[in-house]
Parts: sequence; structure tokens; C-alpha cells
Amino acid sequence: MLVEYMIVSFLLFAIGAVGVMIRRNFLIMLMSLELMLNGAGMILIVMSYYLGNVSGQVMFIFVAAVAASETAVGLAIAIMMYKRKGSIDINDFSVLKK
Amino acid sequence: MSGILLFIVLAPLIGFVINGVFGKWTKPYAGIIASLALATSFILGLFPIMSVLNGNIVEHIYYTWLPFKEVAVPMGLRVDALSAVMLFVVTFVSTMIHIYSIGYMHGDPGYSRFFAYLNLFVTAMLILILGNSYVLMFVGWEGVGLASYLLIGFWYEKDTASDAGEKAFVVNRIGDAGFLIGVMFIIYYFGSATYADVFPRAEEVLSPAVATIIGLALFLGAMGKSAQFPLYIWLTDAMEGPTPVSSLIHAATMVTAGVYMVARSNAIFSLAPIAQEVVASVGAFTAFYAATMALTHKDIKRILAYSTLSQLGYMFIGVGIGAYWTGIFHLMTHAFFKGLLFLGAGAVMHSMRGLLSIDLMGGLKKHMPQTAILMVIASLAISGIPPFAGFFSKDAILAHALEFGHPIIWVVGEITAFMTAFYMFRFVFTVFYGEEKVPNLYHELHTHEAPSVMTLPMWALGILSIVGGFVGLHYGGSIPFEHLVTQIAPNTEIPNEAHYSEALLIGVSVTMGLLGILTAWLIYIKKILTAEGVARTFRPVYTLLANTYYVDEFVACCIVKPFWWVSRNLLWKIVDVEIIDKGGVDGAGWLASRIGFLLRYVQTGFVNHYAYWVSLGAIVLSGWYIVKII
Amino acid sequence: MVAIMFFILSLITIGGALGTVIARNAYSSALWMITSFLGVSGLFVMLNAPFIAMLQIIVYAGAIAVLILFVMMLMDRRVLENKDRFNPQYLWGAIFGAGLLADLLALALKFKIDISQAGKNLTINGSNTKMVGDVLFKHYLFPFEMVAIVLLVALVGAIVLSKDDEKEAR
Repeated sequence: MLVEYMIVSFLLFAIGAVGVMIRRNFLIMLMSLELMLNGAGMILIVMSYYLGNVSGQVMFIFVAAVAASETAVGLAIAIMMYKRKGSIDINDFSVLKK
Repeated sequence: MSGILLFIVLAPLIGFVINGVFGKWTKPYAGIIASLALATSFILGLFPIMSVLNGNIVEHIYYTWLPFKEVAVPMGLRVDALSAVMLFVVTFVSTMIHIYSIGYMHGDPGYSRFFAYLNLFVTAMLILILGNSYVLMFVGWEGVGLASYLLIGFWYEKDTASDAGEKAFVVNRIGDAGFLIGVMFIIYYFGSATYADVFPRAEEVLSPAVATIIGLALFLGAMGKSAQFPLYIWLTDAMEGPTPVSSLIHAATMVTAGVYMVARSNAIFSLAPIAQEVVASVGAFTAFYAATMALTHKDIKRILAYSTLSQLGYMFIGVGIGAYWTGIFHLMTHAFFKGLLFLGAGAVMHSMRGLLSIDLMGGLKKHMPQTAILMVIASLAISGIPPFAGFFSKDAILAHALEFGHPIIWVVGEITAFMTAFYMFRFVFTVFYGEEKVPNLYHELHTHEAPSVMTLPMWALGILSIVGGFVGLHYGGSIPFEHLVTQIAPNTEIPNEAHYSEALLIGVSVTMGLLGILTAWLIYIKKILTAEGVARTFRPVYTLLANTYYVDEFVACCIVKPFWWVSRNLLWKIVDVEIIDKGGVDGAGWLASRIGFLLRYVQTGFVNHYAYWVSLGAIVLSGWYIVKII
Repeated sequence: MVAIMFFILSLITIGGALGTVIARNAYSSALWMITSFLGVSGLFVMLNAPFIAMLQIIVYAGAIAVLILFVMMLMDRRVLENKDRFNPQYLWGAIFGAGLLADLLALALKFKIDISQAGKNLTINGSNTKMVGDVLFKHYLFPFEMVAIVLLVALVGAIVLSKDDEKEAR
């Protein structure tokens, strides 16, 4: 079962990564980031179970806290983007090259 | 005990942080905070010292600093007999000088900055002496160098002060390089730099040749820090700093770090007779050479600076001949009386509004009776008149020099003792006795005795200048101080130790001291010989001495000038302009712009594209990890 | 039974994840995401981590998803439902994603650990929550405090980010 669990969490991570890379909507990119973090968190829980060590679950709490902070900042950025240009399409914000 | 030990070092650091960070608000109390921090250190320091006096070694390792595979550098503090002596001297003298500075620095715009630096200095000094390895000693070594630089250039608006700070830093760098090389050699041969690992194994690991190299490298470091010939040139300029700094750093504690280091490395030096010979010879030469320069100077602080050089020379004789305890003994007594001399000079400067030349002073005894008495005590101590402290330590050094088979050094030392007594009493007689040289000067300056916040610490040091030497007396066949220090720094074994009558040696020493005082008395009080007359008779010698052997000029024309020339014509005009500017700087710019021109196509500005690159990196890295490692 | 449960839950998880990424509309994307999170929390229950499963539902499926939905409510519908879902170069994204997955799958297949302790040591007196609390506050107290600071900084950052703009607008 270990391999199956790992595959599920890796799939979650990879799908999230693809979502970050291909979507244009900033909010959906944020959601995909959450998926990636959840995939990473899931592997912690899986390993915690199979190694018989509860530290992984504690780490998940930290991951969740970081995810929450990341969302808060990300959403603040989203609101800013919306206020500036009335759009949250990431391709309208190709200002990194300037 | 481990907490106490740690807090000894931390207390001044806390003071430094308080005064350094919150100096704006703590200004009125900066001196009190700093002195309290030091007093805490001093009182806490008594616990490990008591334990050491009972024959223990207190050592605690707090954590491993650099856990490399082959070499681990533990961060630990260690108090043994040697560092206990230093701990006592440093914390006691520092506390006294901090208290003194409350009065001396009163009203200075940088009041809290001054105390922050002083506390920083003491922290570094305590790390230097309490560290349990050469690496930690080096940390403290650099720390005191930094604090010294900051304090010499404390009045940085003055060009001379900031220049002097730089000079001290640069000259010390030469010595530090030597010290670092020595430490690297030690780590290479022993695989560790902790004292507990190095010294017991020194004999089996080191061949005499290697021991000599390490010894000489370490001594180069000691020469820089302790201002031995030819690296002494920074010390006299260091007098640009405030006088308590000169007293604490450039007389009592920091400059003696080199002596401490040589004594600490006794296991290495005892294996290297050549290195020992070099140490003792350089010490003897510096003692003599600096004393001659002190004869003619008119600036009170410079006289004391040269005198410090000379006394440091004595200490190096002590540790160089292999009788390490005598060097440490002189270090301790010297800290008391030289600290006191500087504080006295500071008190004079304080009441004379910063005047320094002895030509302007005279008869100050009437106005500053306490300072005058203290200065006489300190001068008697440095001149080696029993029963003052300096007598015991200086006599111990010279007697051992003769017994360990260095008659020439003994002769040089005795002549220096004569000169020491002469120049110190020249100082005392011209400044405190005789007539007022400039009429009405004192009246105009409102010359008065220093406030008691300054005189009380001076009295404390004065009392120790009197009784501090008694630990070097014979009690029931053994000398307590020798017994203490030789536990850690045993004397080098000399095959055929000569024996001389102790009374004879003491007689010679005391006679030399008294002769010096007598000569000074004849010239400056009785005026049987006038100083001008003597100077005229020995005009070339006098000129040479008054110009300090033209060493600064020599350095300026033979070292600094060629250096400038090479820097200017070769390094600047050719290397810098042609190669670095045209090739390096412009070339780098050209290259960057070319590469940037190509890479511009990568920087699309689309966030997704950056995500592609990140994931590409992740794929490659984790792929490599999976293939290679698992 | 366990295998069937696992299959169903992982199907929900992966399906939800795919739906999040593919959905045309941001609202449905968020709903798919919640589905996926619920599946994950079911998997956590299977892995003897009931406390973390509840945390997952509260924090991820609850707080974060609601937060995102709130932000969507602030915005114009047309902004959220734009015609082009994907980047012009979405193929590259898919390729890199596949590469990442290939790496991770290789890791999953090559990875060998000692699983003799599987499912043990996760409870005190039958309570997983007690065990997590015990470890968290005994061994990870300092990181825990640091995480609190991270959250605080994020809070301040979010406020500053959304406030600066208002000033400029005035």
C-alpha cells in the first residue's frame, strides 16, 4: 500500500504543479499551489504512518500554517491586481521583464 | 559553575548591547551600567578562581562550534591557574578603570559609546583568556584588536586619532597573520586546537623543527599584539585614545595578551629552544631600546607608552627564558602599577585641560596631593624598590635569567632597570615637585585634585601596587605564585642551572633602581647637572633618542614610500587602469551585455514561464538525486 | 475493503485535483478543490491520523477555500470566467509536469523503507490527538513558536499589501 499512497500524493503534487504552470487565472494558480502543498503534506502523513513516528503529523501542522500564510498573502496580491487593472489574468501582469 | 563561567563573559557583552543599542537613552547612566556589568564579572570570576586555588581546573564546553569531520572546534571556557591570574587581573583592573572613566569621560559627547566599546573590549579579552582553544583565543584576539581600533580612534574627528587607529590595525594584522599560521600548524599536526588536546601530546607529536616554526609564528602574533620590536610602532601612536583606554588596553591588559599566549603555549615553546631564545632576545632588546626612548620624551603619555614597551620586554624575557611564571607575575604587577601610572597621568591631564608636555608642569603636588602620592608609589613599584610589587616580579625575572644561563640578558635587564627608575622619577620630579614652570597657569586652568570617583580606583590599584608582589615571597620554602602558575606552565628544564646568592642579586637590582632615582633627583631637583647640559654633551645621542631612532621616518621612506610607488605606478596605472578596468570591468560589462542580449529572450515576464524554469530545475535536480543516490 | 476504500478516496482526490486544474470557471475550480481536500482527509483517516484529517477539513476545505471564495465574491464575474483557460504554451507546462511526475514515480518505485513499525506509535491511550499534542509541545515547541511568527508576518504582509493601494487611489 505504501507505493500506492505515495503515488496518490505525487499525483496530487504533479497535477498542482501543472495547474500552476498552465492556468492563467491567478486564483486558480493559488488553488493549484494549495494542491501542491497538500500533496507534500500527504506524503508526510503517509510516512508518519509507515515509519510509526508521529513527527510527520506535527510537520503537517506546520505545512498547513505555512499554506494559510501563503494564501493570505496570495489573496492580498490578487486583490491588488484586481484593483490595479481590473483583471486577474496572469498574462496581463507580465511586468517582471521591466 | 558552567552558568557562572558563561555569565562572566556575557555580563560585559550585555553591558555592550545596552550601551551600544540604547546609548541615546542610557547616556547619563552609561558609566554606571558598564561598571556594574564589569563588577558582576569580577565577583562571579572569584568563584572559579577560588576553585582553581584549590587545585582544580574548571572547564565547560557549551557546544561544538565547527563540527568538521577531522577537526571539531568546541566552544568552551576554561579557567586554570594561568587564566585565573589573567581573569583576576583583567576583571579587577577593568572594573577600576571603568569606575575611573565615569569621572574622566564625564561630559564627553560619546559617553555611552565609550562605555559600550570598553565593555566590548572586556568581552573580547575574556574570550581570549578563558577560551579553551586557540581558535577561541583567536576570536578574542581579533575582538580586542577591533575594540582597540575603535577606542584609539574614539575621537575620530581628530585626524591623528583615526590615523593612529588605522596604524594599530594594520601593524597588528602582520602579527595576526603569524598567529593564524601558528594556529593552522597546530590544527594540522594535532587535529585539534583545544588546549586539553594539544599540550599533553606536544612532546610526542612535534619535532623540534616544527615546534620552532610554530613557536616563531605564534611569537610573531605576540609581537604584534604586545608591541615588541619591530612591530611596536603602533603603541605610542595609540596614546591618541582617551587615557583610560591607554591604561586599560595599551598598558594593563590587551598588550599583555602576547605574554599570556606565549605562557599558554609553554608546552610548545619548551620544545623549541631557538624560539625561546628569540623570544627572550627580542624581549631584552625591546626592554632596553624602549627605555632609551623614554628618557628624552616630554609628552607624559608617550613616556608611559615607551615604559610599557620596556616592561613588556621584561615579560618576554621571563617567558622566553622558560620561567613562565615570572613573566605572568610581572604581567600582573605591571597591570597594577602601569594602570595606576596611566590613571595618574589621566588625572593630571584632566586637571590640566588636556595638556601633556612635562615642560609646562611642575610643583603639581600642591594641587593634586593624592595623585602625587599615588604616582610616587607606582613609580617606586616600576623602579623595583622593595617592598613594592614591581620589585618582586622584576627581580624574579632577572634572577631566573641569570640562573637559566642568560648573563647578557641579565646585564641588559639591570641597565634597563636603572633607566626605568631614572625616567620614571624624571617624570615624577618634573611634574609633581619643583617649581611651577609657567606662572599662573594652574590658576587659569583651575587645576584641582581629581574627583573621588577617579581617585578611589587609583587607590585600589595603588594598594595592589604595594602588596601585589607579596605573593612572590618565599613562604616555607615555596613561592605561592610560582607554585600556582607552574601547575599549568612549568619552567623549562635547564640542564645545568646556575645558582647565585639571592642577596647579591637583590642588592644589584635595588642598587640599580636607587641609582636611577638618585640621578633623576640630582638632575631635576638638585639641578647639579642640568638636563640641557647633559643633552648638549651627548647631542647626537639625544637627537637620535628624541626622534625615537628615526624609526617612523625609516618606515615612511623605506617601507611606505616604495609601497606607495608600486601601488601608484604599477598597481594603479598598469594593473588597475589597463588590466582591471579595461579588461575586467569593461570586459565584464561587455560580456554581461552580450549574454544579456541573448538571455533577454528567456525573460518574457510571464509568470508561467518562470514556473517552467523552476520545474525544469526541480526535475533535473531530483532526477539526478534519484539516479545517483537511491 | 481497505483497498476499495482507498481506491474510492484516491479517485475523489485525483479527480478533484484534475477538476481544479481543468475547470473553465474559477467557482467550479474551487469546488473541485474542496472535493479533492475532502478525499485527502479521508485518506488521512485511513492512515491513522484522525486529528490531522479534521485539521485538513477545517483549515484547507474550510478556511482556505472559504477565503478564496470570498475573494472571488469581490471580483467581477467576467474577470473570473475568461475565455482562455490556459497559457499559449500550455504544452510545455504539461511536459514539465509529466517530467516531474516521472521523477517522483521513479522515486516512489525505488524507495525502500523499513515498514515494520507501520501504524504503531501514533497514539497515547488510543488518542492520536494526545500524541500529536505531546510531540508538538515537547519536541517542536520552538518551531511552533516560529510558525506563529510566520503567520503574524503573513497577516501584517497581507494587510500592508491590500492597504497601500487605497492610499494611492486617494
